[in-house]
Amino acid sequence: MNTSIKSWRNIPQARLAVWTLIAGEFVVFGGLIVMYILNRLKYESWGEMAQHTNVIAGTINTLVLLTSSYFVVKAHEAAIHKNKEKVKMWIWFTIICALLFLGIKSYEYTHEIMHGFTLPGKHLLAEGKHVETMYWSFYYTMTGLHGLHVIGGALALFFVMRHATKTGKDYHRLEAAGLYWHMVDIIWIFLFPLIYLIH
Amino acid sequence: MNTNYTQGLEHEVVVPSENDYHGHPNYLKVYISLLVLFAISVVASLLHNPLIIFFVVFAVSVIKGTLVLLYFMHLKWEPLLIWILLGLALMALAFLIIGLYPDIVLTHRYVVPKG
Amino acid sequence: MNTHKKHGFWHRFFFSLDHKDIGFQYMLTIFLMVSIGGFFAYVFRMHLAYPDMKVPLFGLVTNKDYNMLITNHGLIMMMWLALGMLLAVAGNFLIPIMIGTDDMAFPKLNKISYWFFLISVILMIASFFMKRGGFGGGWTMYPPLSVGDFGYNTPYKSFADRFFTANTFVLLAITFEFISLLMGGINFFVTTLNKRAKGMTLTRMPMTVWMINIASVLFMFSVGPLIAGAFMLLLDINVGTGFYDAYRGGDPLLWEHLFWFFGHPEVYVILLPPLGFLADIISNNSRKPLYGYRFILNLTLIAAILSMMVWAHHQFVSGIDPRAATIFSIFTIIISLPFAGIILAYIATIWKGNLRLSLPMKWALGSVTLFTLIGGFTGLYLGAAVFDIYAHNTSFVVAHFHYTLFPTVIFGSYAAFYYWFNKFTGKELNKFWGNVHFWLTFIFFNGFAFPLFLLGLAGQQRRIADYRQFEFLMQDPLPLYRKIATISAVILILSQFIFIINFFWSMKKGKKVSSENPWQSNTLEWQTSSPPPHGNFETYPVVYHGPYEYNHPDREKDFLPQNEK
Repeated sequence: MNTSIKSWRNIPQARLAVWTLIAGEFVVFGGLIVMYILNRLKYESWGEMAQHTNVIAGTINTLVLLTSSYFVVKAHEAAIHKNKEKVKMWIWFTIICALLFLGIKSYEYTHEIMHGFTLPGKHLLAEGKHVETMYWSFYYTMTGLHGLHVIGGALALFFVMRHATKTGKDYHRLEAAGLYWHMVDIIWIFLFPLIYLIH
Repeated sequence: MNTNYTQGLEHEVVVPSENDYHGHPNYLKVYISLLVLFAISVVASLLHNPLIIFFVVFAVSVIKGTLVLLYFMHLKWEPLLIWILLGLALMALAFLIIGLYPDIVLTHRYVVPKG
Repeated sequence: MNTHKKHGFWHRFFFSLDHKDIGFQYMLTIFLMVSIGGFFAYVFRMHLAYPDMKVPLFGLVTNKDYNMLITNHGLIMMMWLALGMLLAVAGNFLIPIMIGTDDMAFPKLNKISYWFFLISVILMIASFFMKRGGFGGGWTMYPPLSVGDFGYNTPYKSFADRFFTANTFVLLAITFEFISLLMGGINFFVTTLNKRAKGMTLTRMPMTVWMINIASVLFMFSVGPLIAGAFMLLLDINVGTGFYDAYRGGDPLLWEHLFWFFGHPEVYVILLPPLGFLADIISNNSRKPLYGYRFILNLTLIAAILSMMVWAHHQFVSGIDPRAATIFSIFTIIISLPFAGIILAYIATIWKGNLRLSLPMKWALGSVTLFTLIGGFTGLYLGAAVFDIYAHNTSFVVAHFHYTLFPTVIFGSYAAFYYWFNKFTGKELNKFWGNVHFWLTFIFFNGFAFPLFLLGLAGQQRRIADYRQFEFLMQDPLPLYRKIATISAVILILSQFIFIINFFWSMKKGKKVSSENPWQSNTLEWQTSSPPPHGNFETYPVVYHGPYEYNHPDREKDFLPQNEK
């Protein structure tokens, strides 16, 4: 059924549910990104703050997530052939990527907090930089919420993989969990340039 | 749970088999193009004009997101319904931007505190 | 087949995966919430009519108490009663059985969404008992009021001091409830698309199923930014960020936008399911096909999209851009057109029908009448910025709001209760007390809400606990209006006990239903036994017709069940 003609045909319920969830999540993150962009347009001084972010760490993180997405599709490909070993291998690679991502992110957080860029931003407030505190509020909220999704996605992949490889069935769930993982990747694709690159 | 009652009964709603009803693009090709696009956006961010940076970087993000959606998530092979769902999400965001724009970007409530 | 095992209490109320059991759990939880919300309404209405009186069962109402009561009344009724009853309860009971399937697509997810709902209820109730008292920042939770008693300058001592406040708990409760409804909505959507019985095409589905699904999807797309915004408000309270703090470049108006970006579509989220019930009930009781099935459907879809473009009419006095106000006014007035079309289609269904004035039909007619004639029309006034700026913070808005929501949410739910009760319990509700309940509710609802229009036009503000400082509010007929409103509200609340007693009494000791299909209805839920067994149907039905084939000229019977050839 390799056709690109769009029709109303039905799709498996697991995937339909995850697609619906993804559409819902797009609105949640989209709302946050919209608020950030609009405030960014309003306050030019946020560009200054963006220079304090660690672009190299962000770049590595983007690479890590893009690669993990590739691993997930490879796992999905292996799942179609019910290749247990390969599924295990690719999913573990993905989970390692997720851990790496979280590790680099926490390194960044530590670094930034050490420089006084905290969530309430007392340090900035004392300098009279009121508006700039909100940049960091958005920074931590967006990346933090995204980090929670990374954890959730990795956990979902792990449990689905364990269930599938142990019982030898329900391999299709890997694709559904994979879809969610790609969504996490897409969100980062938008967050990274908005936070790190534009200054 | 006792699910005996489902046996021997059929739905007209025929759901395609869970596996492999969509095509498989060359994932490696997609992955490499993602990396190339990513390199472009990083290089573009070294430019000096913020407006150009914004547009290049944002356009690249959109292309990258679309690539992941179309090929990694197999949206290209999904039925119209999924496209509509995602379209509705984008529509909601468009409404949000239009509604918020005058009140956030055009209005300045923040006054620099004196002293 | 269908070994209908009797399950124990714990199984039925905590662990059952059956959609009807879960629906029943939702219903009992919501009854609990409504009784709290109703009690709050009673207390502050008494206080408004008799400011110095010690309200029986409560005591003297201080200004802080008033804020807390009115806030929590609004929150409970909007978030838990309206959304819960019309999405969770109606969706769980009706969707699987109306489309002819055994259960939800994801029964476990359904169970989990109920547990999230229960957590939200517990958090909400816990918020009343916090050290600083219940949440009193208005049900719309506008910052800076919702950040603390003194806004961003509230002197919190520690994190625990910030966290164990009603503000945090209410926000968490609402977040949990939204997650619960989102999971439920995804479940409904997938069930409807993938589990329909053989022959049940999309345009053969009863209107109720359509409407609940459209409402669920609309809910999903409108609630997203508010979830992000609630997360930000939680950080504002608990961590000390300044997203809504003008001193730090934030903007309280942002919250208002996010809230109403959800809040206005929400009005339609809770309007659509009752419109679905009404379509089924009116068509059944007029013994006529529903007028313009596709017409209603298309109008609903148009209205759903339009409903996302009208939200700022709640903020005309909040200092939004006046140019935007004009645009939002126009869209607000436009959106009444599709709903006028839908109501006209219902009236056309009644037209020359073979009317049966059964109890559900009475509720349905009451709902249509009150909602269109008073609720909808005053909405047109308030949609226009020029009038809204004058009337916004008066009880005119309160009256309008109750005239739109009460007829849809309460009358619609009661219509559904009286219609589907015999199906899901196998017993009949007592008709006499049903009639008493209907007439008392109908009369005293009007007695309560109509004086509020007059009070509002006279200048009675809606958020002021002690209005006695305003002399013009103490002039003659106004105290009388307030008393009429209050006494009616009290009788209205008391008369709901008739229903509760009738409901539980009939469930235990009521007359057994005489037939499986007492309303001679076409839809699939009436073609199985009452109450339906686990799995709903002995064999999956096969559908041959649309749901509204009443009085078919080729048939002897005046109805034609969907699964009959």
